[in-house]
Amino acid sequence: MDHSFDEFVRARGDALLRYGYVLTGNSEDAADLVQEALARLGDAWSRVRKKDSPEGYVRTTMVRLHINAWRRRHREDLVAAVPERGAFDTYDDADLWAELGRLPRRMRAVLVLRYYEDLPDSEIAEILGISRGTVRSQAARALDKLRITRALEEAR
Amino acid sequence: MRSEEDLIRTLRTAAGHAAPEPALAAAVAARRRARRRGQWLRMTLAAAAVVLVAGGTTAVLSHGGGQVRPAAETSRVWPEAVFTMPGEAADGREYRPLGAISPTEVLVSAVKPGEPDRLESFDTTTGRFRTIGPMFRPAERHYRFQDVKAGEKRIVWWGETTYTGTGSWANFWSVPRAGGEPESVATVNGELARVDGFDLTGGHIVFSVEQGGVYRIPLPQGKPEKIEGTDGLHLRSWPLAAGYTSDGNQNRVVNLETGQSTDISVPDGARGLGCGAEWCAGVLGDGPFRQRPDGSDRRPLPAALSPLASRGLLAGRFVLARLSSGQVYALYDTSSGKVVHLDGAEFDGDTPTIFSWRDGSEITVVNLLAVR
Repeated sequence: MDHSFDEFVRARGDALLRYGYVLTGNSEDAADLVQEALARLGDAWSRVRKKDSPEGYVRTTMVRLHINAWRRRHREDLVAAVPERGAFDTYDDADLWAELGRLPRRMRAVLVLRYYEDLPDSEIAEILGISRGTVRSQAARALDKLRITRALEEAR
Repeated sequence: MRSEEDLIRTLRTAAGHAAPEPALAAAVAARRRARRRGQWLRMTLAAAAVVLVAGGTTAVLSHGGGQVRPAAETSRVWPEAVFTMPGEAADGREYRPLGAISPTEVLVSAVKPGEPDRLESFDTTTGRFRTIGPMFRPAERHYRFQDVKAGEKRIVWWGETTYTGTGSWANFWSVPRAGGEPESVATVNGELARVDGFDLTGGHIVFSVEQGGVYRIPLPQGKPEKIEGTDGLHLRSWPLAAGYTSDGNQNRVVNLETGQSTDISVPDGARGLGCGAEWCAGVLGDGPFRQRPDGSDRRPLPAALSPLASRGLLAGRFVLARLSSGQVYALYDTSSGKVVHLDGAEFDGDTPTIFSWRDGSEITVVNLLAVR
């Protein structure tokens, strides 16, 4: 019965780990987050498969877990970023990645959903359970903090 | 200035750094099995411990000079604060330390899957356990104990559902310190369920929420009411609450009993500044630092420490940090300047008062309230 679930984990695992990595900023927390979200998806598999998209369900669970609950476990918000392996094309990208790591979780999640997941603000609002206005203001504040000019903003 | 394209490229490049996990399906299956066995608290503790142990191994190997045993090291640095207790009760239940309520008293739960936990206190001077009462666990699968406090007559704790979605909630419990049946004090949901500070005072439970504001609930039962003038404040240890700048530095401390508000001097460019009564700690430039609340006596902390964004200092005094070499946690004592490594330690909640290591049939515990 769980055969199709295992199949899903195998097929989508790497992509989910990448998503977890941009959300959390490190491999350990990303793996933890993906495992927890997939475990919950597995428990709800038959229902989710009938009604919704498993991929959407697991990604929504991941971002909600990350910003709402898991920060209460251990205070994982590092003030100073821990260096991670891997190289960026330019020094500025590495700086930008480090600065992303210093944003509050919800703010960072808004950016990840908008610029990595490429979701419209209305969907981001639904996923995070906040208003569209809050999505916009969180994104604007985050972009300001990162010293990013908003060219695409107007199009949203 | 940067552009949004820079952000998109950076996120995509970073995503490529994610470590693949060949055993993902097996790890997920193990997690689901553990969940079905009802190991609700242990699961999360174990998950944290694995990360810590894994990180700890690397740190120990790269240390060069012999093995570091964190529990042993801690008892060498703070001999007055470290004790051992049995890992199991006489009836076979597993003991799990919850938190310290005095320099000589810690609360523990005695756990048996499928039954309510049993709350007990352990007296470190006599080495004796005392049963306080059952800790009822709601049917909600993702419910988790968070924090416990004790007053002269009562012990209170709170827990919350961790999968939030729209229906998340938190609840508060109270039991006579002498022992008895615990009573539910209140259940809160919505913004009020995002508790970020908790304490007990006289006849009230007091708590604050993430968006700011301090509330009180009368004991033995009642509705939360907001304490006047607490907008934007976060409870630390009653009667003290903290106020923050928009970028997350603590810039004032307010005594909620007297209404007195004291400004904290935030250096330009500081990040994550959090304060106890005597010291503050944060990051300036690339390095962690400490200072007095009035900005005097500023000096760097060991550069290897990455302080975690603070909800105040632990026990008003300790900085919880990661070592920049990896996933290993460490504690920095702002009073003495001593650093203790926590490789493999289990701890709970946002502002833990105890850290513990399970070693065979015994648990070694450090009680921060007992550090002199």
